Amino acid sequence: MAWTTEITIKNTSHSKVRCKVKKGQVFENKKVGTGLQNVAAAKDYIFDLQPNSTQVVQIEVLCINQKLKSPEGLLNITNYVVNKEFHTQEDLWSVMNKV
Amino acid sequence: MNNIDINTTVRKLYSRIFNWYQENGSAALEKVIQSVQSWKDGNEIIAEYKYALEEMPRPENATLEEIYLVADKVIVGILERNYSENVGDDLVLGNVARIITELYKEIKKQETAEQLKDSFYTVMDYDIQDDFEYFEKAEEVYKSVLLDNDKNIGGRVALADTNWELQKLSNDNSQLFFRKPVALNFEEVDEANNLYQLAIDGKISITNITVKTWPGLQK
Repeated sequence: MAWTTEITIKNTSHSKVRCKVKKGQVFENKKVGTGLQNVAAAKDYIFDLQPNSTQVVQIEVLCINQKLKSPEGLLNITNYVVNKEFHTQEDLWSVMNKV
Repeated sequence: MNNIDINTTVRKLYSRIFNWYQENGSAALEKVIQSVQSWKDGNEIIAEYKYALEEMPRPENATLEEIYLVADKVIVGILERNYSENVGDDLVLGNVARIITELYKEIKKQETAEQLKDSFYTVMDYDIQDDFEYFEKAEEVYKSVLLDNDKNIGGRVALADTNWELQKLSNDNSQLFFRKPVALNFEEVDEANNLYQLAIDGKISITNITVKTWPGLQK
């Protein structure tokens, strides 16, 4: 199964803003202990937010906590990125299980 | 003294104990049997002593734990009868055994310190009874990590959840680690135009983030 995070972003400035999401950047559940997987961006993303606008972007993600349930619901973006190489879901789980 | 030096010292000290028993063990047993009534009649205790001699590992092959166990037997166990036997340099078996046990504890302390470098929190006896207690503790340990649900930015939950999953996978209920991000294969992003950083700086605001399945994506 493939996953995406749908992010609604508002740029209230009068300037265009260039945004990046890094491969491996972690999106987390909003509460500790939901039993749901947290996720990480499957690749790098760069997109521009137009001035005075609200945009929705789709970020493909992979799951990082293999033993937990499938992700669902609302998330937060974090400042963490998985710092090991991965290409597939199996790779990412393998990396995270080898801590 | 680092662990390698301590290891070497322990092994040299243990050699004194091992060599003494190699040379004198049988004679020492005979002496005790002749002089102590309970040993004269005690087949089990004699068997235990003999077993301790037979199973004593050679210094070059012994693990630290095996050395520690022999030293412990000299201090308070079946070999205690030989505590005061001289092994040279004004040392008796008991002194040597005590030094070994102190050094062993020092090694274990240094090993724990190494493990603690990857932990936010001290290693502790795992007396947390259920997951709810773990999550309460995790909230406290990781409280310095951001969690702002209104702004849809954080980090705390990813650490707590991932650490919990690893704790479950380890099946080790004797120790509980609350790992630092680096120990969870997480590193911090340092980019001014990262979506997270832009939200922190107030240059944009994130209204919400929702995870969904996407049947159209190829894995």
